[in-house]
Amino acid sequence: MLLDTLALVKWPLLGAVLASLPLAYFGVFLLERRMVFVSVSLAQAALCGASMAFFFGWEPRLTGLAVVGAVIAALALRGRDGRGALPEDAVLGILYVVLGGLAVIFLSKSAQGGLDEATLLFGSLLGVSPKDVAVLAAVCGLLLIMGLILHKRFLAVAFDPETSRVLGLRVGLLELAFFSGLGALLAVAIGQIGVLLSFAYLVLPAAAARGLARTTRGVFTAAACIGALGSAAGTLASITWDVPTGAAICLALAVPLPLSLVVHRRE
Amino acid sequence: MDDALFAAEGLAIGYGKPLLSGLTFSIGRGEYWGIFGPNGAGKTTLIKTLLGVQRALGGTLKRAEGLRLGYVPQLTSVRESLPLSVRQVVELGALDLKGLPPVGEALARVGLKDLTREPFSSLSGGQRQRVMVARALHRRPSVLVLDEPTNGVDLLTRHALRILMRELNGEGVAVLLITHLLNEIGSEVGHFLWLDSRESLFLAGERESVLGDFRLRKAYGAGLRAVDVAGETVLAWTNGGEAEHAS
Repeated sequence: MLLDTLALVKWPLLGAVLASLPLAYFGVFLLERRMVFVSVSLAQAALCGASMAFFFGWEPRLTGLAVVGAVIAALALRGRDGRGALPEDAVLGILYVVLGGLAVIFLSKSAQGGLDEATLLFGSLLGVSPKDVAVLAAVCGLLLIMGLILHKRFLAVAFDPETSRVLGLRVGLLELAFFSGLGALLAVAIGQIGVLLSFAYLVLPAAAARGLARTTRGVFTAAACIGALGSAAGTLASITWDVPTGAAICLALAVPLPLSLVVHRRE
Repeated sequence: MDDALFAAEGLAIGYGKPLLSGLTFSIGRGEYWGIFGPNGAGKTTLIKTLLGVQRALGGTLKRAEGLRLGYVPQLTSVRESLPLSVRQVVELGALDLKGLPPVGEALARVGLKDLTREPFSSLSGGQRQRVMVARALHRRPSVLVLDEPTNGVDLLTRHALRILMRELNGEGVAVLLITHLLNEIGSEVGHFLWLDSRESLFLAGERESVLGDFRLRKAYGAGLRAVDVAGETVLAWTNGGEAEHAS
């Protein structure tokens, strides 16, 4: 019975699990670097790009990628030294609001029948096709290669950006690679899993993992496992109780958090 | 000048507009320099410019070829919550180098060989600072730069670091020590860079020439002299014969 049910949702489930793994990886870095709001703004940029694509009749993933790229470029040009006219969190807040507003307006004027704000906000996981999964798998493959090559450098920059610069690591290029990878993933995944679930994959597994594990390998592994298991549990729950899949996965991802907090306090 | 690790002539430093300009000095191999000044005086800006992290706003700055840097930042600039082990922290400081000795050698030098597998975040402030020094030593540096290394660390660690720096300097490693704590400056510090952007003050040279410079007394209304404290020679402000420790 369970296997029959899972067979019915194998593509949505595979899509969710595939998206969860790299998002959990990025999430660990973002959480430790207190940059979660950057990821929300990038997700909002991907949403805005997808909405624009529906309005103009363009390819949604590529348009999303273009808008995310523009936001990353703008943030990179501004730098992170806190010397801009506005604090960084204010800039990200403004981006979030403006991009969200644009997304809603483009969607409301879009000729796409049946597509609304809720679809992009919560995703349409059950509509995920084998082609969607193939595209996601290709992006995940590229991100895996990037991670294998640059993981230690990402760690060095996350731990101590100042010394990394002094020792000649190209911190700017590494940051660009990191956020471009995240942006590309969000642009591809946003139409399938939506903004809310993307954000949940970035924050919840990483937040739970940092309380459950004491080593970097342990934290990354725990985050990936929580992302994958939460996807399966949420999908199953959504079918069992006939509730929206994206929202069910979000809640399933939050389940390990109390346990993590207890373990963390005991230590 | 040819043997200099760093040679600056008419150097201007700052962010956008010059904080200090016209800085001329030369730091030689194996020398021990103290870089002093009050908080916000431009010490870190100068070091970042020397190390190539920040662009000079004017003048010329030459760095020796093949310089191998060891850098110990202020502890506040690292993200201590990242779940790295002590070994990982040391290894991450030498990603650009190959053929280095085992990590344990550098950790043994700072007395932390037994803590290799411990999470960095579980260590005390003094132990963390020792790990940061081990990370710099693991690179086998020709010049070691330390930015306020004794901030927030216990007295024993302060003393141990001071002894270690002295030993390293004795082995030929040039040391550049940034601090605002004059009462920790011993006789091993043979050269001074004194800067204060608010007073437009910049003095560079051998210890005695800087200490005796009238501009120091003019700027602060007090002079500096070496005093003996528990067998160690340290610096203290003097004002009308009364020695008063800085900071």
